[in-house]
Amino acid sequence: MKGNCLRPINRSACVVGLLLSLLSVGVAASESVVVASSFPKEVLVAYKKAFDERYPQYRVEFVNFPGTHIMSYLADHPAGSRPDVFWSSSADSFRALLRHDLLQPIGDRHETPAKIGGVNIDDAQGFYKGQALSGSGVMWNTRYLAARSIAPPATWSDLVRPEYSGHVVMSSASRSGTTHLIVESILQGAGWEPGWSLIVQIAGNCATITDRSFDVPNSVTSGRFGVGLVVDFLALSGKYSGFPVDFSYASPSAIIPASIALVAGARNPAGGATFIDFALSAEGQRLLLRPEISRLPVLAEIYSSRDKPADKPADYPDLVDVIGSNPSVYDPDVSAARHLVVNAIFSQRVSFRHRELVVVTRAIHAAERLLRQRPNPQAQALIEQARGLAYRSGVAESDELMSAAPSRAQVAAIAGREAQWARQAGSDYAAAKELAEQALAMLH
Amino acid sequence: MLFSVLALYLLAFLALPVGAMVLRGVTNTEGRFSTDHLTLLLANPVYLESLGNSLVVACGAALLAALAALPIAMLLWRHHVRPSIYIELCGFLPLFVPPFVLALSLQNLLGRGGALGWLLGGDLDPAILGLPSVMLVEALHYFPLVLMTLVMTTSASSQQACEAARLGSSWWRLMTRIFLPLGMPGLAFGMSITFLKAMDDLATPLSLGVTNLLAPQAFFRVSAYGSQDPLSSLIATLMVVISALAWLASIRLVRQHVSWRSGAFAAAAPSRRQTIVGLSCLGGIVMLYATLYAGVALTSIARIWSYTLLPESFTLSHYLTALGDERGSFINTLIYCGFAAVVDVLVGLLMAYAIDRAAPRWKTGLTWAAAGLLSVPGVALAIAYLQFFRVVELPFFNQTIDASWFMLPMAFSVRGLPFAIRACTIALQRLPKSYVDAASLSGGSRLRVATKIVLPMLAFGLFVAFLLCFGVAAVDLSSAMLLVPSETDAPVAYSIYLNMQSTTGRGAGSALAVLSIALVTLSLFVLLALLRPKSKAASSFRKFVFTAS
Amino acid sequence: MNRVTIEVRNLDFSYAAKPVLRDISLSIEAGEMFAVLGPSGSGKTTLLRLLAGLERPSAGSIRINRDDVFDIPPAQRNVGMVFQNFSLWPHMSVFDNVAFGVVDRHLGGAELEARVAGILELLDIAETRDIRPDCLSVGQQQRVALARALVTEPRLLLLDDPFSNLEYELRVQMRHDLRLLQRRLGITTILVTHDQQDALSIADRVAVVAHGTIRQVGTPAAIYDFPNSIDVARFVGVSNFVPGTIKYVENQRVEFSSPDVGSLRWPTGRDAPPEGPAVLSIRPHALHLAPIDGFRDGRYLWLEGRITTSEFLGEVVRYQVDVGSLSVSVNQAHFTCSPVTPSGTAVLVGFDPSRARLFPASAAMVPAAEHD
Repeated sequence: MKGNCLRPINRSACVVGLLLSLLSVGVAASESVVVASSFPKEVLVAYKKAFDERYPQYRVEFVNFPGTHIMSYLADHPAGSRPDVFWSSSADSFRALLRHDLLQPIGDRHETPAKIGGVNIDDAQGFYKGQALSGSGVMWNTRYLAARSIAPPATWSDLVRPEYSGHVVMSSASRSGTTHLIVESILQGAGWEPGWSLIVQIAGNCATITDRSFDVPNSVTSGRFGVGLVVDFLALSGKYSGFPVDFSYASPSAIIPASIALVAGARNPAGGATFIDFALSAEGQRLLLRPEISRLPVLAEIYSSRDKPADKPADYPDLVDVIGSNPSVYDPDVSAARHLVVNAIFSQRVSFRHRELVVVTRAIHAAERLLRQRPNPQAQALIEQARGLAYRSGVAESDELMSAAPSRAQVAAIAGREAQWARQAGSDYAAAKELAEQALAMLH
Repeated sequence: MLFSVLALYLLAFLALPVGAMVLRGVTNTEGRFSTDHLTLLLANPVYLESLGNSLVVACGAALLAALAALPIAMLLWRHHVRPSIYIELCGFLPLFVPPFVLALSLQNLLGRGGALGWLLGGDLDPAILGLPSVMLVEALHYFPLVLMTLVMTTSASSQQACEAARLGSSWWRLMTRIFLPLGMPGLAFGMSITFLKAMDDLATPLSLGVTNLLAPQAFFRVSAYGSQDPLSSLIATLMVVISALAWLASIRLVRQHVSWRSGAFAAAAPSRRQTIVGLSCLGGIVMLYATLYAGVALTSIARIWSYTLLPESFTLSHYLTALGDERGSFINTLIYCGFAAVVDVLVGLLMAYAIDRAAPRWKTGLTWAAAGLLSVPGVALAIAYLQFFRVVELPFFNQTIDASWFMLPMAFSVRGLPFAIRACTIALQRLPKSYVDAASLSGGSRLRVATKIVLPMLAFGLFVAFLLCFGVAAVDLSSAMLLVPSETDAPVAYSIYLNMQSTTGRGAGSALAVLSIALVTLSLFVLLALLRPKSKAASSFRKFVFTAS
Repeated sequence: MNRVTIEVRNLDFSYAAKPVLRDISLSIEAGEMFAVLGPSGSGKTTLLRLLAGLERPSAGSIRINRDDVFDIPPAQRNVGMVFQNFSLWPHMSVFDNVAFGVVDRHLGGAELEARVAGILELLDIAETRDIRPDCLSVGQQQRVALARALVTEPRLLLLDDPFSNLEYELRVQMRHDLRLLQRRLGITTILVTHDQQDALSIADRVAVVAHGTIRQVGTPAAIYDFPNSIDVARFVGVSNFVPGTIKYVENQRVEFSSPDVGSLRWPTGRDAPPEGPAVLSIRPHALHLAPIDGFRDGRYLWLEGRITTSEFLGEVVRYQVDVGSLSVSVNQAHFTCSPVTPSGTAVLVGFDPSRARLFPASAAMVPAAEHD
């Protein structure tokens, strides 16, 4: 008797369920090109529409995650089930992929230049190609700053000034490829310790550290925060869409190509190659000029072509100007070697300790304001000491972790050290706060 | 045979993945038991702090929601105002709307950029407040649920309470002696749901820039170091343990089942004063929520809104984008959640049947286990799936499971299962054994009994179960964020989240959010409209059946 | 009309290792109205379900017309059953409910229509054919359930407590109608009930079931007058129970002694229990009241007592009389204008020993009187 009365109904329902699932699997199994990318939705949607229309035999699908995570993603997937194309502005990721033989050569049939000014656009071995250029800088909301009578910043070092406290926003290096790039170019341009000092000071002025790159331009355009550290296109897309924001390339800044490459072990290499050809063609390059994308194409003819003048806003940055005014100091090899360590330091000292960092920074600013009114060498020494504790990396540039090739062992070693860095950051901030308050009390 | 399929499902999609995940957390690379990872975890103050923060946020949200709901529920009870069933239903909306939408709405509203925040100029931006704002958002989001479960469990006896008061009992006595004990099951249910959901929520803290919670930390580790990372397993295990303890505690404290159907309430026509109190109270709440969601609503129709009180120019193009470009995500949601809900209804029906037929000593255990499914957080389940199904190839498809979207509906189905079991149990209760016996005695073939008697009598209950599971799956962002294989495969909730991230997508994301909230509300009301005439017949029929036996 | 007999032999049934029915043996004649009477939880419904094939016995056999039906599934047993809650399918009209059982039987449309219409007509519910069951009155619902059971022309009709949902008047009416219908159709019928009135009033024979075993089988009168155990006596009708001891049984004489009634001696048949603790059982209508100083009729044994309460029931007045520490119920016929004896009056209570029964005492202390 048990179960008798219900058996037939469930059996038929099971069959229905099975059919349903087969049906939907059938839909998903059509010829698709999978592109892994960290770009915002607008870029992906525009390229998907244009590509799907141009090549009806293919359908583009995007896997969206921060470029910083491509390695762990590919490591999790065996050959044959990987995405076809990797498209990102994170140069480190491309180098890492290359080192792990996760790319295959694209060939040399494209018209895009291999070098513009002093900047290498393509990979020398032909594994990945530059598709657009981008540099980083500061963007600001003109109304926001005007309402508070704050002068717009010109470069990174402006952002450490006390009047910016609570008005700046940046993303996390470990969560956003572009932020990692900003951090790394500051570290390479200014040197390891001075660079960290600058970064941590800016972070101390930040109202919040957002989870993803896009939140930065997002909150600046909406006027939630005044100033953001961004890669150019995120700011320009807002500007050319009509928002009261402006952008300035900051120094030191790396002009980096956003590259595109074919993944080794791709499911659909032919489709992937077709997508890459499209992205590098004049048609694909022109898409970059759309206001909601606003990137710098690498194909020179796009800038000079006057056949479609409406494509390009009048004050659109010019490729040559941008490259000329920002001499690149960026060494991708150095960056790739310490990629994980830089991220881990940023996470432990900035992202996860941001509240403490803000409190310390406020205390230091308060003490310094008083100090300017009533000079006091003893208090000044205390403040210097507080700054030294708060605004440092806590890790020597010569640390052995920095030169090790990224590997499982390095990941494990970093996990072990992370705890130590986290504790150190906590005690540094506590001590710095104590010192700054002492100084403040002394000045009162 | 069917029960082995059931066992297989539970084994493959719950027990084995979660078990493997727990094992990974407590074994070293040689596969031997070790506390290395635990030591590593405990050594890092960030993880300890995350643990504490998660507990604070989850407990705080549950307590805040309860503290806000209690006085209002008491007021309604005291004036024996019974909200209309439509308003009661609105109390369940939070289960079907992702809370991060509220977080983003508040950012638009209270941030310095626009509306109130611009007006006040202060630092009310939830992202600046950090942890407390996560707590507040969760509490605000789940407050209607707590309030309505409280109202539903107490309202049945408010009339009698009123009469008793006339006979001389003081109100205070009534409240402490009758209202609170009566409302306890509803309160505990609402609070434990709030606790579990707040613990599990990933999108809300990320939207608010809060990282030091368990769910984001587990998420970060998986995305930074890959799914095989043992520390993420350990964090996820920790979340499972905490959630399970919380759930057990709520069951133990109450020892009473929450009835999803409210008791019969023979309402005398309420007096004028009662109507005014009820309306102003509920009206106030509705107004509050309308205001809270105004941030998203305004953004969805704003073209340019930057550092002004209200958007400076309006457009409907975001809705066109949402309906055009994002049509795919609606279809995805339909496929995943539909698939998950079908699985849920089938498995839930089987489970409910098994529980119903189980020997008494098994029954309690099974019921608890089914309810305990609620306590597997989405993040933990997703991590378990990523680890477990990494190497499993899909047949006919030349693809591993984790590269396909197959894991997503399965995770959704596991997450929806407790609701499905509950709904199917109620559906089965409407089909006493004798109804089937009568049919088989009448000489009908099994197929005929199934199609003519069993299915029509269960159909309505199963439909409710389907919708419930569908809704729960549709907002399950915690597992979706980890398991969605590609942007084109994203369900609506995730699309909202992605859209909200970019400057120009914000409008479309908001439009999507508004559309989906409207859709959910609409479908709930349609469901209710379907339910109403039936429930009348059903309740009289139930009354008859159950008082007779 | 086919003549159907039922033969149940040594039937056992256990559920979850707990015995529900033990060693049940019954033989039911063709066309008989057979009642199974027992308190709830006695296993009587289980017996019905075993007969219908809805449960499988752990041991023993069931024969319908001398054919063992052990392996025959319920659908093929050709048994009609009316469930206690009627179990009418709420999503179907009355017609569809009734027609469900005959749709499979390859009847033509007109024939099916006629068959269902005929049975609805027979049960006097023809006008409800398009109505959904939950809109019907309870009495109508029961008729629909009956129609559904009868439409397949079953060999055997099983009724599970069919009157328990009905109000008193409707119940009497339905009992009567059912009895007439059953006689007319000549269908072998087994009725299960916890209500002795239902069982005694319409059954040809009654089986009393308690704790999963059959205690007694017989005609309603035989069971009422000659219960074979304390359990049966207690369950069927109202009895006074007087605990005491049998001092001796000799030469068809018995001496019964109890602290409440003293020592009594009377002639008895051969069925008196052996010496030792025993219980005297006597029905209230077998007791007589007389004034305390009245004539003591030699046919009765007389006890002295005092009236505590009285209940006026119409045709009789039931007095509670304290005899020693016992309270016994006594029915006195009521005649027009005769007054009710007031409480507190001292009276003589007389009983006819031939209408009293003695049972060996069970371990438990027996209450003085038990109602229903």
